[in-house]
Amino acid sequence: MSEYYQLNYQLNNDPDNYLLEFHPSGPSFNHYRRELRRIQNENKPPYAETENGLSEDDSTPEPYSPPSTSPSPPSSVATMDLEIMDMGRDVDETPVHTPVQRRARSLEPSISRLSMNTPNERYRQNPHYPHSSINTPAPPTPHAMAARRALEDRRMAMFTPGRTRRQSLREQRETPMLILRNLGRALAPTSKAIDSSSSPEKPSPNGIGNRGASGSARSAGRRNSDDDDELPIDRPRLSLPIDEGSSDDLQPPHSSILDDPSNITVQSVELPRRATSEGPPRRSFGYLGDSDVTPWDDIYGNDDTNPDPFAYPPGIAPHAPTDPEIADLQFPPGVGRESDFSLDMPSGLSDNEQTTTFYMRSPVVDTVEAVPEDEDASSSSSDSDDVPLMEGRQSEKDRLLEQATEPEEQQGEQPLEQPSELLDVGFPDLGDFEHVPDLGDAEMDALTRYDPETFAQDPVRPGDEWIGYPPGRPRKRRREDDESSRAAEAEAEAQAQAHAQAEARAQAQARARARAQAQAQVRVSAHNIQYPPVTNLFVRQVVQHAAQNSALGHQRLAADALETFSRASEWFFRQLGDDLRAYAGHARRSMVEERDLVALMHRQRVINAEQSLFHLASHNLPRELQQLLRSNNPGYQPAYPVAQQSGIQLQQPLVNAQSETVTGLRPFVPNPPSPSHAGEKRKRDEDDDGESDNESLVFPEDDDY
Amino acid sequence: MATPRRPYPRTRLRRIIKAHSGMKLSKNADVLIYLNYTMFMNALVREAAIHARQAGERSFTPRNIMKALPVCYFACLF
Repeated sequence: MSEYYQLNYQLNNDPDNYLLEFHPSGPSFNHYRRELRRIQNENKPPYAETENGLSEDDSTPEPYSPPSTSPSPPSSVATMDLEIMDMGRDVDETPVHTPVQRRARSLEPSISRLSMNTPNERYRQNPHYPHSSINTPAPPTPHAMAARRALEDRRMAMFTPGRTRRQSLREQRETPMLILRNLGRALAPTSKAIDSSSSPEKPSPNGIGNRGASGSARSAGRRNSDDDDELPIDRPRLSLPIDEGSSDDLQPPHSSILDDPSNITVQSVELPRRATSEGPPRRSFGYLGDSDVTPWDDIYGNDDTNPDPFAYPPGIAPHAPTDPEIADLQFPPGVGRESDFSLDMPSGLSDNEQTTTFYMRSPVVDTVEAVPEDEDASSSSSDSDDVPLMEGRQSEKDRLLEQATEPEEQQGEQPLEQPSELLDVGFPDLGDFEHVPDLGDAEMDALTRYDPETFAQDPVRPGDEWIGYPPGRPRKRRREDDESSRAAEAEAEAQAQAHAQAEARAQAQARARARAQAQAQVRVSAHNIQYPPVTNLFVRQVVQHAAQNSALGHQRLAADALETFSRASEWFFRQLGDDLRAYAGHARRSMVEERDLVALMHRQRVINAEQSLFHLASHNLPRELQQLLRSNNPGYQPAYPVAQQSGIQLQQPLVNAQSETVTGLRPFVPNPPSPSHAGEKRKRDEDDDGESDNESLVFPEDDDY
Repeated sequence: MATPRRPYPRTRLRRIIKAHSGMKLSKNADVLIYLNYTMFMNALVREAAIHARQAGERSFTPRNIMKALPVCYFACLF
């Protein structure tokens, strides 16, 4: 406070001294400041003039804090300008104009550092090497500026710890809620409570509030029987009052378009629908209790004693429902059509549980369509897109009948219907059938003997593991079945589960044994030649090398994944053999040669103009195999488009290879065959096809690789 | 003296290809076959890794590999 007055005093008396004290260097600021001060003092409001006479106010403390008596109200233009000028100054200097409320903001250093630093200082260079970049800081990029600003902000926050204290608390004092509360306190002794506009119903036996009309009309007997021993919980009001006579003259809303006789095109209005599977289970009929009470009058208000226009679904109402005869025709009491709009309880609650959680459900079908008298008629006359809906309705009707007959078994029975559908849904991949011919006779028998009905009704049947299937999903489904039946009968389940576990273990062992046998067994190809299977070790090695090549790093290979990989490689070799046979047969050879493979790789787009064979080999093969490819000279030209049987000359493939690798030419661009070798037949090694090449190879070979 | 590490089971590969093609193999064709097989496995692993990542799994599962397999066949052979 005293500081403030001193500031004012100095301003009024000797502004030059004051300003020069803080700005010894530059009077350019002072000039403008002085001018602004002068303008400010001239435009000062009159109460501030009394403030400036300091003498009488010095002794008595002000009732208000200095900001309100500030010579510059913060909203004035002059203050804005001063603040802007303050931003140009250094942070460490005390700004001349410091409105106390705004001090925190004006002290924020945002641009000040940057603007205060002269370029010479900033980009000071090494005097010995004036153009070197050693001492030169990086030019201020926007990121660097932002970082510097953040640093300064943090520093300023450290230096002004009371920033949060200085914030105005007015918003916290004067919240609208507080104002309203004060108003309420002021008005409380004089005002009266407003009477409810709802129906003055008889208080329920517990003395609790109103009950909904539908509830009151629905189950009077049950309420009397049930509510007496209930907890004293407030019941929610379910609807607006309908038993007041004042609403008799209110006509229910209906669309004028549909009443128009000249309207031909719009026969009905389609309301948004919801799939029956999405919504909550439609238990309205079962919930509404006694079958002799027709719920439609409650819900639709067709009763002429209870015309409730608000109980209609939020859409367009049916035609002329106020006529009781038509209403009777539309909703014959014996049929008891399911409701489209009802109060529903969340699933999982049984019927006799009276709870307070209800929710309104939107109508499933548009109610504008004239509802036929019969269910069969409705299903026959409905549109094609209504068919699933009707089916759903029908199935729901059946389910409700089931509920009526055996209401307590419904929880246990419902999941049992599912597995037969899930069997159709979860059909395995196509490739899995490859495994089927590998099965033994007993397993094939088990597969063919499999019955979905028995699967559905006896979920704990242990033996049926699907053999060719991916092992994840069917097993999971079986576990779900186990859970559902566990809810039904616990101990038999446990027993059966132990049995199932034992059997599953035995089956796993049997499967492992069969797999080992399949590994050991000699397979026979389509050409009736026995061949050994690909070893898992080899496949794993190749897969891990490939994973490292494709930057996946070292991956753990699960056993089933490895199995799948080896199966895939088996298919690959089968396909490769067929293709190579086709190529060699096309060239009328009885031997698969390297050029066939080159042609095949061209066709596979493994080799193309950008990637030659040797490029591939140098990337994917170890060096000794590259050497084999190079030194042995098949003239790695494909057999097309020109027959190049003359490429046997020792130097030529090397030259070709080098030219390919260097120039990146398309490898199958035919080199002109040298005429001296044109008619020469290729001389074939005699030992290159048999097993006798084992000793000539670099790598000794044994089959248990 | 330890035998050098073999890059691939040569005889077994030759026997497999010979059985499937019903023909003889020239001397160094199996090197190219091995090269081709390596390329195929590269593609398969890459595709399976994509599928596995889309399925949110950390390593390969048979389902991923089976999904990637026709893609690799088509990419390789057509």
